[in-house]
Amino acid sequence: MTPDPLLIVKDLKVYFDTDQGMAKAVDGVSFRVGQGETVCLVGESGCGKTVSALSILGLLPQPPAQIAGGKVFFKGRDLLELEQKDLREVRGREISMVFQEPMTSLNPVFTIGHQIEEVITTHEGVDQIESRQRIIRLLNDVGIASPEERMQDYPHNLSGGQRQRVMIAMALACSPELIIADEPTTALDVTIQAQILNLFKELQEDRGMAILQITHDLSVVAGVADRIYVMYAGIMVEEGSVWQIFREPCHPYTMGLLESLPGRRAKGQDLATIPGAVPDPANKPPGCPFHPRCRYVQESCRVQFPEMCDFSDRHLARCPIMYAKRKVQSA
Amino acid sequence: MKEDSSGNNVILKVQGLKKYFPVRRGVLQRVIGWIMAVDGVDLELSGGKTLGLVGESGCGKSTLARLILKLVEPDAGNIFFRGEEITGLSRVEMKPYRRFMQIIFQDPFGSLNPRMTVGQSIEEGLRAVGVGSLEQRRRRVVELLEMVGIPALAAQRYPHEFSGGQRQRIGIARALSVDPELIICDEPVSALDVSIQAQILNLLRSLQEGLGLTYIFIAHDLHVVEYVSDNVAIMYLGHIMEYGPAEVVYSQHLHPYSSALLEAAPVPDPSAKRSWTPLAGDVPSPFNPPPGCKFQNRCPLVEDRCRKGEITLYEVNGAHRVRCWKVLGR
Ligand SMILES: Nc1ncnc2c1ncn2[C@@H]1O[C@H](COP(=O)(O)OP(=O)(O)OP(=O)(O)O)[C@@H](O)[C@H]1O
Ligand SMILES: Nc1ncnc2c1ncn2[C@@H]1O[C@H](COP(=O)(O)OP(=O)(O)OP(=O)(O)O)[C@@H](O)[C@H]1O
Ligand code: SF4
Ligand SMILES: [Mg+2]
Ligand SMILES: [Mg+2]
Repeated sequence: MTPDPLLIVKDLKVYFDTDQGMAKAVDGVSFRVGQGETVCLVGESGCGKTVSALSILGLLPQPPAQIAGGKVFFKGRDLLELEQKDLREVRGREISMVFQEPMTSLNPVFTIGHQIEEVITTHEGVDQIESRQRIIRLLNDVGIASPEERMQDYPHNLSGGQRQRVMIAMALACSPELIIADEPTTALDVTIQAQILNLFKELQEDRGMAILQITHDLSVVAGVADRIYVMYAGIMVEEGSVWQIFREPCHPYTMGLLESLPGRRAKGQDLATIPGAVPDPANKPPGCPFHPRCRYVQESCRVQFPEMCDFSDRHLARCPIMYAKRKVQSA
Repeated sequence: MKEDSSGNNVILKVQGLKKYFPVRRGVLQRVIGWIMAVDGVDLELSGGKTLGLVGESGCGKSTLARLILKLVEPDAGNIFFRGEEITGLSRVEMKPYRRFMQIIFQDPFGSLNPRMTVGQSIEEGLRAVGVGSLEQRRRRVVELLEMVGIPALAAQRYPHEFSGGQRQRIGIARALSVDPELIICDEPVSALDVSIQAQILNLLRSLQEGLGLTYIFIAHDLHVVEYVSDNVAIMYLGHIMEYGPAEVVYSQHLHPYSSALLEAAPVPDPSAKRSWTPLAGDVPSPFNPPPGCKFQNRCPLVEDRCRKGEITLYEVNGAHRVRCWKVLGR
């Protein structure tokens, strides 16, 4: 069962011109999101998840950013080719975004009710009474108590997690077909997180809303993802279903990630980490970008950029070394 | 160091701390109610230990952190740092204490100056407490950035040129820069993937072992809190509902809210999908809450008595305390 892809990102490249050289923050990333699907994008801090998401929606200022290549098809149209005006139409009506840092996208001088109302009224002609009811319902849905009161608050009156939930309410206000959520539940405790994830699920079932969720929280990923994409240093290193990734990770980076989970270590014992650090995007090593940290590294990894290898049904990983190993094992 | 009755060195003591935010409405900005963000909190923290602070979003954790550091003024209560009362101190009088008490802010973007390179931001902090020559300070900046896994070259870049998790680590480097004794970590690893998170947690732990640092660790990830904390406090609407050694709170918690929270913790395993259980009942409002237990409208055990008079924090045994008469049968 493969739902019709709503969003297809093909070989996206986003570079930054910096004093230290060209930072290839995103360097050839491809993925798809089908209608009603939840796709999770995971990967080490700084690997290019936010930059990918923002460039899909034309939200990265250019310069300093430059889209160095690729296509982003949404319902057949290439978003990278659209005029700003048309793109604005798409954003907020068909696709909406939950930003990683709420304070950067909430306006400090307007009440939160006002900001949600703006989303509702710019896209639909609804009257004040109806829009007020919608705001109250949205805030209630994201677990904000006393919404009638709280809609009159300014962002600085809210806690970190409350701001994050207001952002989610804003993103849902226009009933989007696709929501791109960048770490939407990081500031939330488990009970409210559960409420938000259930809300997303309902909207998927009722309206076929698709979700592209960027998160490092593997408990969330395990619970919601239909499909997982793993990024490392600006490229996709593995993709597969939630079972394939959690039960049979193929890329050494993905394996390291799963081994670093706390809860597998006793107190007072060091947590497992992947030794070394993510390369600077302006200064990536040749060959496989993970090779300086990889325990399976071979000579060829240092010189040759690895191909995506087909491990099993729609389970791909960019590691010929592991591919050869698994082949031998299964033979 | 002052010793308390049990012979521990108490670095921080907080008594009856309260913060109510006024709710103003209308053209005249009249006060129509209060948000009881922190509603009478007592805490005692021994040097070299970690207190984990958990609770629902909006329950008052960040406000408590800011009260302790005197970034907001309390409406009631007292704060003692190493036995000296700092409650009434002015900004200027607080200055000598600042370098010993640092915070890693929940919102790293809002706490970094956008017009300064991150190197300048950290260096400024060092200069403010009078660390060495410019040359020494620059070296320290590089050392600190490398400690949190940010390449030294990045010192010349501005906050917006980093990813969310990189900014969070810059905030950590800045807090560590002045060799504080107490660090309040407000969601310090929330934006980090597990591998870098592990790196930072290992770093915090080795600093604690080497330098005797004391932490208050606020986080939503219950596995992380269990791993780092000696003691854990569970907060709900401005009250501490349960407090005790981490093992006790995690495995023998008594309060109905603790159970709801700790047992809802999701696990990173796809076969455990069904664990998404939000708390039953409406999220209660922090506006003028009803008398009695703050958990009453969501509690499965609620009885009439819970709706009358204040419920106190009862001692169970040792340091373990619970704010519920019912589960204790008292
Ligand atoms: N304006 C910019 N100028 C230069 N480099 C940038 C800029 N914005 C982002 N980068 C770099 O691009 C890389 C990718 O950043 P991005 O924000 O996409 O990471 P991320 O995967 O979202 O990480 P995190 O999990 O920490 O949020 C990072 O190394 C970052 O430093
Ligand atoms: N400046 C303010 N004015 C009015 N209300 C405030 C202010 N700051 C915080 N509050 C309110 O006080 C309560 C506690 O907020 P606080 O930021 O301490 O929560 P928190 O426990 O840190 O939550 P989170 O986990 O979401 O960060 C919230 O209801 C919040 O809306
Ligand atoms: S005091 Fe009553 S309402 Fe509060 S937790 Fe105990 S049983 Fe529940
Ligand atoms: Mg990001
Ligand atoms: Mg907070």
